[in-house]
Amino acid sequence: MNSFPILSAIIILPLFGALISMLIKGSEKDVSKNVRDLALWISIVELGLVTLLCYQFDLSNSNFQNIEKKILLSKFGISYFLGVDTLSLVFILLTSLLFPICIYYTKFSIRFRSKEFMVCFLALEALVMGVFSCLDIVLFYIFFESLLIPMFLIIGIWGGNRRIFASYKFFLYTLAGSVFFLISIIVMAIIANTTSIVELDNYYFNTYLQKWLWVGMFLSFAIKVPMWPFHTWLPDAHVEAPTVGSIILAGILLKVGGYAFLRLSLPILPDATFYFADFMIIVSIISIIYTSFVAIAQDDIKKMIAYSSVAHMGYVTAGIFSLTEEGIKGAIFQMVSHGIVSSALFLSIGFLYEQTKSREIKTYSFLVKSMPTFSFLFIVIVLSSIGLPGTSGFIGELLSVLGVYKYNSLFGLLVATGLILGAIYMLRLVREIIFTVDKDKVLVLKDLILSERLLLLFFAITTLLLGIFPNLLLNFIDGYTFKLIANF
Amino acid sequence: MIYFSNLNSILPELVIFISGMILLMYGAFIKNKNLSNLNILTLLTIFLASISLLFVPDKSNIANSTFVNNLLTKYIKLFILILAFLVIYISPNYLKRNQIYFFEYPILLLFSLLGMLVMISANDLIVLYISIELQSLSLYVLVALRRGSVKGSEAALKYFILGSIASAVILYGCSMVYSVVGSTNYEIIKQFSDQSYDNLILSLGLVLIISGVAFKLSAAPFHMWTPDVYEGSPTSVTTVLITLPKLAALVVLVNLLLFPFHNQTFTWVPIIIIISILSMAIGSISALKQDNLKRLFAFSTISNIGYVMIGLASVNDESIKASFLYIFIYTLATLGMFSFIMILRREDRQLVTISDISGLSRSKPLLALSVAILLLSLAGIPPFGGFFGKLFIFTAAIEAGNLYLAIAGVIFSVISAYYYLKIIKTMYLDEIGEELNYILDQKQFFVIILMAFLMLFFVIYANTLISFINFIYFQ
Repeated sequence: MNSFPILSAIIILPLFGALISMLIKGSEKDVSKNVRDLALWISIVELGLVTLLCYQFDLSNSNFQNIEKKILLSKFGISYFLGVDTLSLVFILLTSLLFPICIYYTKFSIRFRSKEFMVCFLALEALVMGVFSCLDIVLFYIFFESLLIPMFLIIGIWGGNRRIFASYKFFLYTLAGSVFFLISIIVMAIIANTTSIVELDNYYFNTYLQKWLWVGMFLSFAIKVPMWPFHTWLPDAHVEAPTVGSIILAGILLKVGGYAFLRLSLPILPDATFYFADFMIIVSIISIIYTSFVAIAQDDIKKMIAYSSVAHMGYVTAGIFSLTEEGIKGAIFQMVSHGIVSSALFLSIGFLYEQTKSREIKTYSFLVKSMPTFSFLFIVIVLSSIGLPGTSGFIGELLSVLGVYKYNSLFGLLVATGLILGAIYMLRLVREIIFTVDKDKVLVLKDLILSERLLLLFFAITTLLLGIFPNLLLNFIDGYTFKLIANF
Repeated sequence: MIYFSNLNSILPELVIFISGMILLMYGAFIKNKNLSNLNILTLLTIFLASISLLFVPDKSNIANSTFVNNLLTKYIKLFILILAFLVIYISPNYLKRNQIYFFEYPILLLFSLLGMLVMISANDLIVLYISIELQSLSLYVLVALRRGSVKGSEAALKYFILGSIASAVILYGCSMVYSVVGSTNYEIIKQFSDQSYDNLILSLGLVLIISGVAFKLSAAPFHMWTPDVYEGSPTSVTTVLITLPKLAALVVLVNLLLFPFHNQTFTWVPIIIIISILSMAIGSISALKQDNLKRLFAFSTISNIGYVMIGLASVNDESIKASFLYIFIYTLATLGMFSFIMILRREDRQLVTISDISGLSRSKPLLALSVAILLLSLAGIPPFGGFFGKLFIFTAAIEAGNLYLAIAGVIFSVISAYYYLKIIKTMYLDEIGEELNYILDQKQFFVIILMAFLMLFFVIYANTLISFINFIYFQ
């Protein structure tokens, strides 16, 4: 195909924006405004490019499209190899939607060194786009790892009190997992003599080897997802990260792990996937139940949502490894839904935090009086997080549970308990901060201004839309799921 | 015999030797005045030597095959000359500001360079020994350049005594090899060692030579001198110590192990593997607690040498090429880092501790960014050069069946990421400590930017570079 290299454009545009941002000079105030405007425009153009990509995407064709290939290293034919299928497209779209919102929101939350922030942020967007669109496993690793650098800086510079500890933990924890992934990549490349994901899909590794390769990848992806017991970096990273950092972390970076399972572990190593399916579902169940209990015990709102993220990602991994059509569709749906819902939750907490500088549940009470619009939208989002029918959370969790139930009814039952536990802590949060009347603490908070309302409203509408018309997304990933299931 | 007709084989060495002699006399007359002329002449000499490399035949073998040239040695010599050029280019201002700018500095560096060039071409144990001595003796003096300081004297004394012991060990090894082979020439040693599988004296000789060369490489467990010497010597000399001799010593080791002792792999491979794992472990773990940048990078060198050794331990063409690629990337990144250490100066003193650079990203954003790139490259984080170095080293190790070496390598690379990250953290995350008013030296700044640029865009020229290494290796 000799058409316009739209995927490269999607990756290069934010990098270009980052470069331009670095060159902007002037007084602190002007710079921060100009840079933010520039970044906002870049991310909007990016959204336009992604829309164009979706528009010209041929749904009837289940192969990779918009392929670009250029050899980087002759060894193993490591190449700059891009291409998208519906799975990548879903996440590219999610990414391009969340970034402009975050950049817009930085107006309220990032008060110093905004130039550096935008440079990091745009670089992050480029790298995330790279992860979701590349088809070469070494290139994938390069993007996957490079993500750590801007995220390290975002948490470390603009984070809370323990930001340095959190950023270190985030970086080293993720790096430690990834290096085993690197070893797996090298072994695969040596044996199959290719690094193209498409060719590796068709290559058959023997079962014994598959298991070891799978374990190497598992460590890396499980830390990224994160699954119990590798989740301990996440609460720290979330609590300390600035609001926009948390949004990107929960909304996109966690999805990279799930995406990697779907893109690499399942198609390349089907035997091992089948072999470890029980193990993965059991770990996911522990993840869901354990972290839900931990979330119940939290006093810090951000920490509670961070733990709830781990629980929600548990549905994703359980769904993926049920290896059923419902399970996998549910997992993808759940990832998208969680991307929207958790972003909205972190955004809401951000609104509160900006006014009081406190993340404690006990700081807030009776918000329904002082912030009625906020309370309304917040409750819609919380209900989606719990998985109330009519919201996107419901469809994702339902399909995942259904998939797992098909795989093994006992596992299905256990996964479903998470739904109840999730309701416990989220509803408690709502009760404590929105409805409880506590006369000792008369905290008068300003309600949302128009632009903030619009942001939250956007999330609330999206989650309702996906909840009421799930087929918008489900039909989209039909072809992909079908092709993937054929492996098993 | 050397005839005039094949003089061109030693032309670069000859240029450096003659011009070194002339400059020595010139220096003795001008006596620390007008040193900038001397410096320009030195740079010119190196430039001439690089040009004269063009006249060196691609394959030559002179003086009873004690001195050989091939494409690989030729280009490594070129690389060493370029590095030396850069080092001499950036050091005058540093030396001037620290009042240790003597005319001996460039001249001794030239002699040390001569030693290194001969080391690379050495095909005879005697030539090898003499060239190692020439290289080391010049460096002993350079380390002692800061005569007044206690640390400087300590470093020089330590380096001299331990270095002499290492040289003696090499010589002892050579004599053992000679005692059983009856010759010091590599080719004759090769004929002998190809047939003997359990000659104890030969093995012992080999082990001693490896130990001595490992000392020069500062590989663990022969690394004890490294941190003190690197810390005590002037930074510009440390820059030399940390880049040039490492490259030359690696070539010596590759020449020795893969040519005369190729059949003795059962003796030396386990040794190299142990050296490799120990170096990575000691280098990365000891560096964690360092606050002094020079000490920190001394340990970082030790661990990087461990990675180079992985390639050597895997004994095949791919792995040796990977070692060369790795040391190529490593020397460039460290050269950049040491220019950075030289540039750090506030009023009348050099800054060497990590806390001195806190908040650097605000006062000098470009400098901080370049240094961050160099550090991430050293830590092996993609997409920078160091990652590809590590990728190829691990690939080579796994291809050769040494999976455990690759696993050890990745584990220690995570540990070492911590201290590289610590420097980045100090520059980017910490608040500005004291008021910063660094005077950036333009030359040093240029080298830092250049190296960061090379690391950042490595992926673009990687393929060309690797096919070039392939080309010179297989000639």
